[in-house]
Amino acid sequence: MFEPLVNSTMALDQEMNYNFYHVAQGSVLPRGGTSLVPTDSVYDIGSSTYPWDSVYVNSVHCSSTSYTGTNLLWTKLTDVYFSTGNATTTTTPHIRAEISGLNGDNHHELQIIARLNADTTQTTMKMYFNGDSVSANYDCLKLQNSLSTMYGTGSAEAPIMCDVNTSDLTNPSSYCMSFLNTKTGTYRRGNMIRLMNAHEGNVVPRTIIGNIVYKNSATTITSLVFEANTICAGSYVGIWTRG
Amino acid sequence: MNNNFEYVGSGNWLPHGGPNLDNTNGIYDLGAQNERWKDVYCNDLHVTGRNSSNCWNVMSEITLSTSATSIEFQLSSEYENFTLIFDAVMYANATLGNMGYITFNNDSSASYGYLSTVFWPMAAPLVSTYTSQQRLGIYDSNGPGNTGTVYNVYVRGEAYINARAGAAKLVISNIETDIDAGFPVLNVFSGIHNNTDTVTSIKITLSRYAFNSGSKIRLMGAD
Repeated sequence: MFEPLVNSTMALDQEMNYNFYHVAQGSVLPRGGTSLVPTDSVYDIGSSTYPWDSVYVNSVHCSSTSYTGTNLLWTKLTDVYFSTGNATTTTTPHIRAEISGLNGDNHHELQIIARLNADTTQTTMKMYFNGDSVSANYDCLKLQNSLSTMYGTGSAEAPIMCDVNTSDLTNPSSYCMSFLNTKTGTYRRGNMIRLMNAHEGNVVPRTIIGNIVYKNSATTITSLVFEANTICAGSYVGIWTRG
Repeated sequence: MNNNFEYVGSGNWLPHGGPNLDNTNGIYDLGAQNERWKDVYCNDLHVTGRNSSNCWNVMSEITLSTSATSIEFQLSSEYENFTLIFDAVMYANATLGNMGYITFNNDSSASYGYLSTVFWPMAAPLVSTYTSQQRLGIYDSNGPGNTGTVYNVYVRGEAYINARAGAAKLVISNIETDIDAGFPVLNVFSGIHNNTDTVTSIKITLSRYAFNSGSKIRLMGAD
């Protein structure tokens, strides 16, 4: 218990010791007010002008994902678990999740980890920039493998995600690791590796390398939309950034 | 009194405990679950344990001091996503070849059937079956000029693993191998392990020969 000192009142040695213990003993909490009560998310450790030199800790638990500096840590912006999904709807509207709140200039290096679970229907998890599916606004060029097969000029969908493309499947899924550069003022570029048709059916799964060139360089990327005919329970999309 | 204030308020700020406010190690926290500091400003951050702040965490990093035919990482945290980063050198033999395999929970293919993928746009066979070929993409080149000779090949790359409990384990690897061996190869590879157990270990095994001394393999994890 902190014992505020009172003018013209003698402070006991024990009270003074308690005050030292209160501010310096054990776990150090951010405190404020005249009684130095614990606070939440009000005070800082150091400042931009007076940073600590080094911090040594066993574990770090931060509720924010904001990191600055030169460490270039990949930190997760957000993720979406499709806990219930929709295993039957195969007609529009497609199952859709929008990751908003992005700033393509601040978050211009993105890492996307996605796992798509689908039903027995052919489906592709497409990605749109800024929730816009107007082809003329996007002009995504799809490059695939060393053959550099380019197709889909003027397409709105980015071939950066997972897909399963066959029938006669049981619990098909796919997995993809993608990297995107979304900085305004230049073509958006991305590359990805994906495992498609991961299932226990009778169609061979495939490894695909794909690249994207998105020729719209003017519009700041503020969101990514992920859409598929069926996105079943267990599907996952995580968005990471660094720098 | 001034000395006491200087003790707690100046210079390096250390975790204190006990009636004499002695220095302690690994006991006390900065902040608490419900009483958080807002921002931390520092030049360097040194974390020996887990960073649960939505970061990729280095779970383990091995630099071999002697050669090893296999390396097993024991997992104490239930992450769903893993990345293995290879900066390694291994023995190879152009006649016999060398292949890297991945095994979960130190189990055999009897419990962890493995389905290899084909590389698009290669023509796909109509039927595939699970096999014991738990390939990881580490592979020697059968490079020219080395037939019958044991030589060193360098391996660099990443393997991404989705190891969700209750679902099949999915692996994608992107690995350069045979660097400086006269015939460098990029292996892009993926496959499925059809066991849905919780993964408690990830093991890499070479079919022949070993990773050499100096090989570095890092395991990263993320929620």
